[in-house]
Amino acid sequence: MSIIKLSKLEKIYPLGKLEVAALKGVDLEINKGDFVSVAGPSGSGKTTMMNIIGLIDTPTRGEICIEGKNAGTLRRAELTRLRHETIGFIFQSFNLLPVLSVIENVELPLVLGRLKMKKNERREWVEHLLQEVGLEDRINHKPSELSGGQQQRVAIARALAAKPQIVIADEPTANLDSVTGERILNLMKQVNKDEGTTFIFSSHDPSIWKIADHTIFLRDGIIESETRQ
Amino acid sequence: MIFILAFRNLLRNKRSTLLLLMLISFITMVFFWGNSFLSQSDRGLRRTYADNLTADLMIQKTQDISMNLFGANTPVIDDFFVMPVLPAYNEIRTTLEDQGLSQLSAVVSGKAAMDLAGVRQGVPLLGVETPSYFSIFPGIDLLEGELLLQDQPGVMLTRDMVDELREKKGREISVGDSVKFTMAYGTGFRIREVPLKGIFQYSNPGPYMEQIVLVDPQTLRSLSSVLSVAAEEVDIADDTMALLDGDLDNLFTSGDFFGSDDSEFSISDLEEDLSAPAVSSSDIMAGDWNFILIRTETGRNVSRIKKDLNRLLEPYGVTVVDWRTAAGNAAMSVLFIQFFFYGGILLISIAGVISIVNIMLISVFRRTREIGTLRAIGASDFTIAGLIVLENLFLSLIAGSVGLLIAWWGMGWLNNLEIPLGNSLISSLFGTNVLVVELQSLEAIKALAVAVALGICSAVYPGALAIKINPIEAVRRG
Repeated sequence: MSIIKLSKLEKIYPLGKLEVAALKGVDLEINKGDFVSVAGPSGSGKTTMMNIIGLIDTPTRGEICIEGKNAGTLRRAELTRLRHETIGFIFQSFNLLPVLSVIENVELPLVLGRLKMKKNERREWVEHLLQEVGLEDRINHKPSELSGGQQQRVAIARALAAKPQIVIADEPTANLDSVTGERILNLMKQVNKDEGTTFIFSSHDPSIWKIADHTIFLRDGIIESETRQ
Repeated sequence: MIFILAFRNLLRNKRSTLLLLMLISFITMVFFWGNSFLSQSDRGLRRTYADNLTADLMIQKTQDISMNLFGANTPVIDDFFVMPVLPAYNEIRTTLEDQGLSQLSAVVSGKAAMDLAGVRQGVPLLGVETPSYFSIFPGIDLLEGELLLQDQPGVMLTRDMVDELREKKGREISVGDSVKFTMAYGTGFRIREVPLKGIFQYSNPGPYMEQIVLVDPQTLRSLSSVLSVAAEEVDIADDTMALLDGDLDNLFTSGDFFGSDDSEFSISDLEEDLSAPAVSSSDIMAGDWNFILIRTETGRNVSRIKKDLNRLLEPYGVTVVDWRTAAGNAAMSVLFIQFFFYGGILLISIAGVISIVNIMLISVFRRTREIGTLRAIGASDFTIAGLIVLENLFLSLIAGSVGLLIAWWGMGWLNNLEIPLGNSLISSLFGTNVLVVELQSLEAIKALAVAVALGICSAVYPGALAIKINPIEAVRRG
């Protein structure tokens, strides 16, 4: 059963008087619980597609359906709600809020959303997540006091906090060394297996594509090939 | 969590926070100081005028021109100004008493030349209804002699005026001395002479108040041609009416012009007739008045009473004005000062809002990525706008409190200096002879409210811009 469906998806960026097409009619279906890798060289449209799937950007043409809901027909507030309830986003450069501690950063999506959880339950859940990503001893640290790998683990915990169906990770290992990068991917894979969360991550590094069940190769804004294990 | 985020954002942006803090503190301080001074002067003026001269409300004949207790506020050029007389006095008085307003006193007002101790000077005269006048003005302290009595002609002068006259002429002035008043009418003059009954002083005199002369109403009425008695039906005896049937053509040529030899005319009778009062005391009280002064009970809403009375008394062609209008230009001057002060505060506030908005906009632009991230992880428009408003709210509360503390301390320090207020205008403005500004919690709350309002208003535009930031900015600015 597909949780994400893209139909004839196009994204065109204006560049002065020119128009640059980042996506040129992408059709794609991703099933619930998939661990998907979006591969391709730089400029192939990976990030654009990830942003559109993550509902933080809109397509120029075409349709995107998340859990059967056409995102193009939703109002701003509905889109915010769908994004919050369904999707967790892991940014390439972590995007942690510098004024909040590790535990507060992870707790934030729960505070912003409508997930009914008592304060102590919330704390327990967040501490559990931080334990899962191996940062239980860093909960009161500020992001600036953590290494890149640690920050990315916080970002993963934050993305998982609101128990989303889908987690989008745009080049999650790009700013990490290879060992840390591999650990991060293994952690994501573990959550995927344990919780059934759908993961979609992008990378231009062929060495990490193999971890995915479903790999999509993008080139010049179109899907060149798809492989499923 | 949003509270923590807002508070920590302020701490993180120390430079802009400090700048905003100083700006809002300054505005709060200026507002608190200015408002305290104005409020003090308002109370001072009230003590000066309402407690001594005008009471809380004054009823006057409805006029096209603006009036105070002593006449027109602006010089009347075209016509010779005549102090308007209250119409339907008895009905108005009954209406007021029906409304539970028992502390009333009527006055006649005018200006005359006064001769005393060989000095002639123009003075404002108030013909007062006694003893009610002295009961509604406890600020009048009798120093010598006695208060004016209902049925007796007499005059009361201020201690300052008597001292000045004594100094000018080096002559002693005592209770019982004759005081002569002259008032012009048409092409002639009216002159009245009355005894000096008492010397008094106002508890808190305003400028020129030492010139005010209190006189019995009948003397002033006779000087200013105001109707002395009420119009009543008069019975004329038949033999008196018969005189009109005589031969008017030969009135001055007939032999019996000076009366027949058997007439009962005598010089002593004539002298007796002339020495008798022209009108009885009951007639005096029934004569025309220019104003009715009303003292309301403490705690009652004077504005409300004024509004109700104006509605009730409108059919009689009279208007009820407050003490400020009754006192005239001196009291109104504070209103103008207040108007300019609030205008100034408004300008400072506008400049402050523009500065705060600019600083906040810079802060929002700097945090575009963070706001984009918040949106990407599910923050609604309300949350984003709330975050910006909260930041400003915290800031304005802290800055407002700091501004208030500084202002409060500064005011206390100023009060301790006990700066003497040199002239009577400034003294009357503050209601004291030494500069002491009362520190009032209400003014502090007002100033804090202004600071908070300023903070919230300044957050509107940056907040509106912040909610337009799309989640994609979290990636673009990554």
